[in-house]
Amino acid sequence: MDNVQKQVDKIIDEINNITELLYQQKVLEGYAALNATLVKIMKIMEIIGGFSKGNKLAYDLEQLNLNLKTALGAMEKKDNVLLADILNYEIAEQLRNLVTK
Amino acid sequence: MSFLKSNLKALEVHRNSLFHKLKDKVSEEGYQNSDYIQIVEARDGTMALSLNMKDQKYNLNSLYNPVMEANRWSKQFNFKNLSTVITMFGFGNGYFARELMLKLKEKDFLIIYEPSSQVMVKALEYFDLADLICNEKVILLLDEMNGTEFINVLKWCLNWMNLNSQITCNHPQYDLIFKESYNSFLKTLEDYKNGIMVNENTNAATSKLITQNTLKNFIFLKNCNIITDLIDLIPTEIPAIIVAAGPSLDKNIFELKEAKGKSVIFAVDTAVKYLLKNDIIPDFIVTLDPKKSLHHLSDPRCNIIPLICRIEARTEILQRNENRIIFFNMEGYTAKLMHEVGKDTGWYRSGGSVTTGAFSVCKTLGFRTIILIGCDLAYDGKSTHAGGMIVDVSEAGRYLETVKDIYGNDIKTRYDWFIYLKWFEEAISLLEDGKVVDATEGGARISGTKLMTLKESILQYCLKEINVDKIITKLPPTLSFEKLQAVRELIHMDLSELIEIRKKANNGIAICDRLINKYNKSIQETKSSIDKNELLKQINVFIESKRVYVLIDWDIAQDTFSFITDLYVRADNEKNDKINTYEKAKSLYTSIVKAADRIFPMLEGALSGLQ
Repeated sequence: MDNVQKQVDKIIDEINNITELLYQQKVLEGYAALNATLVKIMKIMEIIGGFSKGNKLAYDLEQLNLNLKTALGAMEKKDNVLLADILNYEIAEQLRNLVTK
Repeated sequence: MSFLKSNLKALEVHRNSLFHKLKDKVSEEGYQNSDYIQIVEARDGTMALSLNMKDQKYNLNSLYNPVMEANRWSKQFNFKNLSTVITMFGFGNGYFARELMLKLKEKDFLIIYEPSSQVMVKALEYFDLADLICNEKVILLLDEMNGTEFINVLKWCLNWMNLNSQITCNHPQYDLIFKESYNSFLKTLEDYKNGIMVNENTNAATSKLITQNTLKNFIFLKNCNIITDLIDLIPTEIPAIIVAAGPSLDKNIFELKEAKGKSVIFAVDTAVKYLLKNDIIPDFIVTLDPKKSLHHLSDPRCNIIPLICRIEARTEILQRNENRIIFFNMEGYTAKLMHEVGKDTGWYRSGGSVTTGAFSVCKTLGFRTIILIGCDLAYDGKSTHAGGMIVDVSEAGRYLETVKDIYGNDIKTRYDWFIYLKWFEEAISLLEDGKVVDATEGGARISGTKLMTLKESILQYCLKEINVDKIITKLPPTLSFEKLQAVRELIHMDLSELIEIRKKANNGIAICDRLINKYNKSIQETKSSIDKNELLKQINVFIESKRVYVLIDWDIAQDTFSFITDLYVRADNEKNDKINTYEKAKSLYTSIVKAADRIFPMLEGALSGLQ
């Protein structure tokens, strides 16, 4: 579990960095970093999914999935500030909560 | 009090002219119904701005925490340099501008260009902007209200010394929403910055030659005139014709014969040979380039035409002249000497080219009608000059700009010509009285001019007779025997001061060495280091207070160009900053010593020439 905690902390750091890049209109750099981090988020969701059968975590994972979809929607609309907001205020927050639970 | 009232109040007190333009807009119906601009509440309870344009929604702020977003956005800009000028496209609701404003240091400025007055009005209604409005370091430009001031603001804030400390940025999304206006903003800024570099590169490249020519040409002060002597001597209702050597000159040069004796013809140096080939003798030749090729004026008839030139013009051209030499745009050391003996040399903006210089002369002399011919400021096919010549003399010539020609079509121009075109347009817009006729019959459209053929303009304006030769023959030289004697005494004094400057500069080098040594060990100030810095200040004050320093300042421009442009740029740590500062100061003192050594014999020569 400690390992999961460390991985989530790292992802949150990366999200923080991506948020700053997107707020600063450094879109290409931000997207490149986001691609790598999205893979890590998917992996960690798989791991957490293993613990979630039959408990409340399943609902949280679903919410995280929904936010990831909203983030992708913002990407499609090229609304990079909204994308940064969702990453920073929704996804990072949910990852933090998941690990705590 | 509502935000609108308090913001308008702040505008009335601190930006009165903008206030008067804006207050009417606030009550206009179109501004009230600007539904495409929406105020939305962010998750943290603060207000954010969003725009619906062309079926697309643009959020101008974070919908969660706009202030935090602006703060994080602003972290990308480094304000460690001195005299930073930050130029920002888009004001929005002021969140981003405020974060930049909070970082401004003593000599920094924030210029904000807002392309939409409707967004501005909305921001005034819904956001507290008083701190931004009241801050004197923040310059606020609104496209349709005071946007034309942009270039003047740049001239005021930005020069070649702080060019490398300049930051350009845009409000998030503004580059997409107001694409056209954004491109025009960037172009204005780039043109201005390139203009500074063109001027300074020219100055730096020719600085030593300028000092050398200036001092060699002192001998001509004995029998010369300065342009201000001619004011009120030539009737201003007679038109002035400026003949430049653009490719269109071939089209109408023969018409100019009809204007001789009914106008005052100023031929720029490169155009003279074409006039003489057509047996047209201009009333004046204008030259300013310190290394102008002599072949332009190789016809012996050139020598009997009055020559209007700058003091640093090529000496051989002045030596050949048998008529009258009239100096214009005297500045620096020569102007100081003239002022000391009570002669007003006037103030001119020569614009960097001989044609703009000729225009300045005409403006100074008060001509009410100035007719331009051969002033293409653009390529005609591949030709750059009359006679189908192609000349590419300038470094800037490699860059091409597209402008409109006199028929409204696109035409290519060289970058240096583009700068001169802009110079003309600005100079014409500043004319209080009189008109400028573009009778080039080709080339770039110079806005503010009246387009006519040369034939039409001669028929309309060249109606009275004038004999310029007679006026010049009767004109006494500027300097009487007594005034000339006074100039000699001043130069004599300056020779002694050059020796003193040299001594002080050597002293400065020694102090810099000791301080560099000290700061390499520790950057902690001591009584000794404070005293040494005080000594350096005194040396600087002494050197700069001397009249003859103006000559040194010009002479060292080439040596100091690179490090002066980085003068306000700061390294990442205090020790490196300190050491860099004293290394630069040492280089400067070394250049001063070398310049004093070079100038001393030249100034001695100038003095003996005036005996």
